[in-house]
Amino acid sequence: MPALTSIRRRRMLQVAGALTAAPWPAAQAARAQDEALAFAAGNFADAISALGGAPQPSTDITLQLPEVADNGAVVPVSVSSRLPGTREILIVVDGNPQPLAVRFSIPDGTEPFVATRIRMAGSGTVYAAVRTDDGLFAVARRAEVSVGGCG
Amino acid sequence: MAEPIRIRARLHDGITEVQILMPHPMETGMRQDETGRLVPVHHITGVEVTLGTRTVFAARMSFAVSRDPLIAFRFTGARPGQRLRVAWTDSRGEARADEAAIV
Repeated sequence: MPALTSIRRRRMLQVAGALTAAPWPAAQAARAQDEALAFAAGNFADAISALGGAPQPSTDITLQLPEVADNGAVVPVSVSSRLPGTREILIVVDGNPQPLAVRFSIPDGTEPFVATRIRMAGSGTVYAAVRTDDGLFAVARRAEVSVGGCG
Repeated sequence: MAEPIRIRARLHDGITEVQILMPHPMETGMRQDETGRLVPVHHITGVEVTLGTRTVFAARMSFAVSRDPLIAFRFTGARPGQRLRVAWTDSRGEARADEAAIV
């Protein structure tokens, strides 16, 4: 499972690299329309595509997630970003029936930080994505879930 | 009528730390009740937190946020005594808004 995820991720990053040589105006304009698509996406690749394409990895995003979650219905998560111009923090759960869990808006004057509790359907990788003026960035962590939390 | 939103907003060194708890079932649409029937989807879809006319935080969420969503965030520029307003809307079109003073 982890090997498949990283192969899929690498392929998506290759495709995204070829397509994102130009700046983001098209993605920004379509963002409002894509929101419904992004939430409705039933798999990780479609959710990322609806969000504008594969995020660049970043070491300036801190994602806190337990390594083992006994109860997948209540998994504490927090995200903090040091990326300048952080506008949005998104949590995407690879393995959930709808991977985009939540997106938070960070207006001017609000710290680029959020903590909440999410549901995980099973063990899997959680991505904390951050949208800045320069694009989409992300960091990932894996959690082992003892009891799935969606049903 | 949904239960009131619990809001804690504490100002220290110019930073207001906020914790909100919004009682809500956050049904995923995949859970079975005692009779074996699927409980329909019912979850908060949007949250907005305002200080007067200024939006200090907002969220769009799916059913993948835990029941009784708990969210913590921080912002600057508030004064003690100002009122913070938290409003949510859900997938059935229901809504709730509550206010609390920043202390």
